[in-house]
Amino acid sequence: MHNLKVVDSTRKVYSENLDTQSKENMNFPPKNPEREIDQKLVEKSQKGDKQAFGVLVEKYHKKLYRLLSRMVRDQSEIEDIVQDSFIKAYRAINNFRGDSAFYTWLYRIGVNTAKNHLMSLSRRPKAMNEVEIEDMENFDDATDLRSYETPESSMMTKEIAATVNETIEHLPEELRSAITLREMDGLSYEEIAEIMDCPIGTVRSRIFRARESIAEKLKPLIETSNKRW
Amino acid sequence: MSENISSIIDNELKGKDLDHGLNELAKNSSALSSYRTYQMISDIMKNDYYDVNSELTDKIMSRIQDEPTQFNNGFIYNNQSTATIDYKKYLLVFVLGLIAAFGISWAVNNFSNSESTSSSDFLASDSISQEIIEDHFSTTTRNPNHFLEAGYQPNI
Repeated sequence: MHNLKVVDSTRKVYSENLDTQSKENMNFPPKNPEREIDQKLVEKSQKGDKQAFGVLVEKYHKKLYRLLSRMVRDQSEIEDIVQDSFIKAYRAINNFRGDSAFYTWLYRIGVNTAKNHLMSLSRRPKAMNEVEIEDMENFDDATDLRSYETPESSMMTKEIAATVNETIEHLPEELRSAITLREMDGLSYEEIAEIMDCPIGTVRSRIFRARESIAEKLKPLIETSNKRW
Repeated sequence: MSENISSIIDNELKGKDLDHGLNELAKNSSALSSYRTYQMISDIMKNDYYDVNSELTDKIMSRIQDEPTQFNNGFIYNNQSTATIDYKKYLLVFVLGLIAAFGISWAVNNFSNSESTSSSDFLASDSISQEIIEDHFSTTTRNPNHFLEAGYQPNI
């Protein structure tokens, strides 16, 4: 486990404020904004914008990799299957109508591609039960993926996590609070603005500045990690 | 620009700002790099980060670039100068057009043939002299073909 030590003091104060407030008074947006973003990217891809499809690749390749790692053991095979899955998805992008979420559609393609790959090698997939994709997604077996990490990649991941943790601890309080409420508590900008008693634009700016500060510290590590591959 | 990218990560960008942000993300490699880093930070803070080959997305996009560009139920080959478009939608119109063209051509040919031996076509010509015309009318009551039998050669 790569433990992330969290600065709790500020979170605790804001969490208490959140508990005392009536959640029914908060307006939760009815539409799924993530699905809206994916749909826009799909529509751009359908109109010939390959770079828009690239954003979808960037967004979901790790999730797909993790999903397929539960079916296939070999790292290079997983990468090949992930590549083939995205190629198939791109070729069939005009058939995607938005009835389901894009990632659900993508994951089905990924699972089928993995099954076909294993069948062609006369190997049975690891998950032989008729497990739904959502179940595979939520299957809390982190040890599966962890066991495939090399010592080198494991150490790199720990170092990255430590750098993030340390940077967050040294952030100004308002930036630390904003990004922590966003990432750890999953609150929307509107909710954070209510808690921190500031405009939504200020929340947006604080979260962005926090991320930029952390990104600056991570830059040397990311470059080292890229060279390693 | 990067602030928009940060908002996209949180699904907090809407409307025209979202369109601009997505365009920036798709076209600008620096924006995509920021997106990648912010996503990493988010995964780490949620204790959901794992190391994946950083070149994987580049490999995928390299293969995507070699694929024909998808374009509204058709596709365009990248390395060809001509576009290959699916004609399914217009096939019926094309076939009907062929049938219509064939029909018109047949009708015109048949109409032309039925009048080609008519003496009235020749008589309508401006190059016929008045003498010939008077001679024709004086004899056609007895022999409608006198004009032709007399050996007058039409000036065709």
